[in-house]
Amino acid sequence: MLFNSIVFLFSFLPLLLAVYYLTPKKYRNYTILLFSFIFYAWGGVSYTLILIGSILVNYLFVKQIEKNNAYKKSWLIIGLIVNILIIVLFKYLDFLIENINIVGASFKTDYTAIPFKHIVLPLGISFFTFQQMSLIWDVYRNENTEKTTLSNIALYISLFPQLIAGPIVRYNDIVGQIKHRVSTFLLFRSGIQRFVLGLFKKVIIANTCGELADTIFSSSFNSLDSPTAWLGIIAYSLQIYFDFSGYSDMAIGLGRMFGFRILENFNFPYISKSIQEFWRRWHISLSTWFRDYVYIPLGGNRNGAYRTYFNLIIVFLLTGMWHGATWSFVIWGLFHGFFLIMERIGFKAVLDRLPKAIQWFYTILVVMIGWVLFRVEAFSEALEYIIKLFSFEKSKNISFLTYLDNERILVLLLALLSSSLFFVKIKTFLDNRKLTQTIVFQSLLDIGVVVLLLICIVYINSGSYSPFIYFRF
Amino acid sequence: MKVNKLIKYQLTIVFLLIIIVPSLLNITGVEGFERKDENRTFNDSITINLNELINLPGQYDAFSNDNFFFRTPMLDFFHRMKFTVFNISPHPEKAIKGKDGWLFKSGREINILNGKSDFSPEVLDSFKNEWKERMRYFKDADIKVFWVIAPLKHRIYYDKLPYNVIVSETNRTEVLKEHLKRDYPNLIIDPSALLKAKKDSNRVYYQLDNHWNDKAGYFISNLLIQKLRIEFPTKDILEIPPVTWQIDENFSQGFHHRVMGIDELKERNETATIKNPQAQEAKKFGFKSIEGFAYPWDYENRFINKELKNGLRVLFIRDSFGKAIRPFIKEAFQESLLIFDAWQFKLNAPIIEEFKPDVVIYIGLETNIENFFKDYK
Repeated sequence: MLFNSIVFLFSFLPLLLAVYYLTPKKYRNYTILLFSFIFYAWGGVSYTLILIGSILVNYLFVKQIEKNNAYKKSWLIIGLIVNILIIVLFKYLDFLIENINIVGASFKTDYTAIPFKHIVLPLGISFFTFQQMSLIWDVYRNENTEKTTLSNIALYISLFPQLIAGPIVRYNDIVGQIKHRVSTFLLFRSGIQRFVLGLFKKVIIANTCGELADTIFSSSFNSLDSPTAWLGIIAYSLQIYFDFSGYSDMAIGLGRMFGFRILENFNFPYISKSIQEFWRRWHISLSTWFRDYVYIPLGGNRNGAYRTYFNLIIVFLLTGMWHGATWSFVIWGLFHGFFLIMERIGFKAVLDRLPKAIQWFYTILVVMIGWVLFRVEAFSEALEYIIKLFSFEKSKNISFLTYLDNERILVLLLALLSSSLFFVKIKTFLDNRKLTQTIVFQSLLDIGVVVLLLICIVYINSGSYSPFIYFRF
Repeated sequence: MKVNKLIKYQLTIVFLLIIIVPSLLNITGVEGFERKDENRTFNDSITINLNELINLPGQYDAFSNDNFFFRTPMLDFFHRMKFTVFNISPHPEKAIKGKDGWLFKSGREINILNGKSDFSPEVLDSFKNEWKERMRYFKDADIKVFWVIAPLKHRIYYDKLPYNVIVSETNRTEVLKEHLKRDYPNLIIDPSALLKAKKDSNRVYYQLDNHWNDKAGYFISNLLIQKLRIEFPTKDILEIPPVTWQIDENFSQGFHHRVMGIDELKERNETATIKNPQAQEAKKFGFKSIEGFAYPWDYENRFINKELKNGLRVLFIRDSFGKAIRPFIKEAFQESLLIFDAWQFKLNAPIIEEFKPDVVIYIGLETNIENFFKDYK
C-alpha cells in the first residue's frame, strides 16, 4: 500500500487511528502490529508469509542469543547467514545465475545455462532483512537488556511506517518506544506536519521531476543535446532525493502520530562539500548501518591506510548491491567508494583549501554522474549519457525547453530551493525574531499544511500512477 | 512553554476531518457529486473470492479511487488549476495549451513538428514504390488519383504554439512532396498555403479540437473543384450552392475540450448550411467496414446529384478530415462515395471496381502518412 494513495489516506489511516486510540494502551502494540501486517499484505498477500516466517526465525535466533551461553556467537553468525541467504535467495539469485552463466559460457562452449528462477522480490526485503540483522546483532551486544518478546520483535520488524521503504530503524533505537511511549497532541500535530511535508515532496515534487526525468531518459541518448541531458539528470537527482526523503518524512510523521520517534534519514545531502559529507547526509540509516555492522567489524580505519581503503571498497560494493541486483548499482557503489578513498588519500585536504563553491560543485558533479550510473542500467548507455553531458552539443530539433512548462519550472525551482538551506534560513530568521511561536505564525503554518494536504489529494485523485522508487530495494 | 489550545488541537481536528469525512459520507450513503464519464469502466463493486484473495487489494484500490466522495470536484479543481494557474494542459500527453485559447494535440504530432519523425531516405523510397504500384493500377483503370494531405493544425497556427514547442526547419510533408514531385507532379494536393492565406480573415481550425472546421472544408472543396475542372474539362462540375454561416459563440465540443475537462471552455464557431442542396444521400453499396473500426456507421457515405448527367464519379478514401468537405463536394459531383477505412488508406480495389470512379481522392491528416504503406499496422 502506498502512503500516497486514496486507500491509505481515506481508509487505512483513519481506521487505524480510530482503532488504535480506542484500544486500551496495553493492547495498542497488537493493534498496530495487526494493521502493519494488513498494510504489508496489501502489496502481496504471499509476501506476508515470508515476512512472518522471517520474524519467527529471527525470534528463535534472538532467544538462543539471549541464553548468553557458549553458543551465543555461533547463533549470531548462523542468524546473520540465514538473513543473508534470505536476501540472496529473493533478491540476488537470478543475478548470480546470470553471471555464472556468462562465466560458464565463456569457458565452455557446450555450457548448459542454469535457468533463471524468477523469484518475485518481496516488498522492502532489503529494509526488513537489515533490521533483522541489526536486531540479532544488538541483542548479541546488549547483554544486560530486558528479555525481548515475540510481539516486540514482530512490531519492530513490521512497524508499517518504515516497513517497506525505511528508514532502517535499529532495534536499540526503538525497543524502548515499543515498550513505553507517550502520545501527545503536540507530537501528533508535528507528525501531521511531517507527514504532509513528505506527501508533498513525493506527490508534487518527486513525481513532477520524475515525469520530466522519465521523458528525457526514455529518449534515444543519441538524439539528446547537452542542455537536455543536464536537465534530465538534474530532474532525476531531485526526483530520487524528494521521492526517498519524502517517504522517510511520511514514515517519521506517521510514527509520531502513534507516539514513535523515528530517526532522521536525510539532512540536506545536496549541500555537501565532499563525498564523505554526502554519505553523512544521504540515507543516514543505511550508511550508519553499514558503518556499524560492516565497516567497524571489518576493522574500520584502525588497521592502516590500505586496510581502511579495502574496508571502504567492501562497504560501498555492498551499498551498491543493496540497492539492486544489477551491475549498474555495483558500479554506482564503487564509483562513490572510489571518490571516498580519493578524499581519504589526500584529495579532501586539497579540497578543503578551495573555495566552498568549488567544493560543492565537485561533490554535486560526482553525485549527479553517480545518479546516471544508478539510473541507466546498461553501463555503455550510461557512459553515452555522461559523454552527452560534457559534449556541449546543441541540437536544432531538440531543446531542453521542449521538456519544460510553467508547472515543471515552478516545481524545479521549489525543489532546488528546498534541497538547499533556503527555507531553513528563513525559519532561523523568524526563530531569531521569536515569530515562529506566535499564534498567528502557528495558525498560518497549520493552514499551509492543510492547503498542501489538499493539493496532494487533488493530485493523487487525478490518478497519476507513481510507483515509489525505493520499493525496488 | 505553554501551548495555546487552538494551536494544540486545530490541525489535528482538521486533518482528522479531512481523512474521515469522505469515507463517512460514502458509508452513510449521502448522495455525492455526479461522476463524469471517463474512457473506461468504473470499478463500482468488489468481488470477494477467498480463493483469489490476492486480487482483493488491487480491486479495493480501484474501487476506492473511483468512489472517492470528492473525486469529481477535485478532478475539476485539478483541471482548472493546471489550465488557469499554470497555463498548461492537465493532460499534456494528449493535448497542449497554446496561446489565446488555442489547444493542440501532443504526442506524435509534436514529434512530427520538431522533426523527430522525419522520413529517412529509405522511407521516402518506400513511398515512391508504393505509389508506383498504385499508379500502375490507376493508369490501367484509367482513373485519376490525388492525395490531399491535411496539415497539422500546429503548422497553420504555428504562431499560437506555446514557447516549449520547437518547430523543425524540415517539414516531412514538404520533403515527401519534393521526393515524389518528379515522378508524380500532380499527385499531392497540399492545402497548407491556402489555409495560411485564409486564417487571418477566417478561423480554419477549431480551437478546442484538432480538426479543421467547416470554413476550411469550404475552401478546400473549392480548391478540389478547381483542380478537377482543369483535369476534366469536358465534365460538368458544379459550383457549391450559396452557403449561409450560422455563428455559435458558445461552441464547446471537441477532442481538446474533452481532454481539458473544463465544461465552460468555448469558442466561436461557424457552421455551414447549404440553402438548396441538390445532392441526396443515396443507398449505400454496403461495403463491409473494417473489423474493429470505432465508427462503422461512418465507413461509407454515398451521395448522388440526380440533376447532373455529365458529372464526375468521385471516390474519397478519407479520415475524419474528410468530414468537413463532405457537405460541399457532394454538391459539385454527380456521385460521391466517401469511405472511412479506419486510417488505413488502402487502395481499396474491390470498392473501386464496383463503384468505377473517374477519380479517387485520398484525404487524410499528415500524422498518418505512414499508413499508406501496405504492411503498416
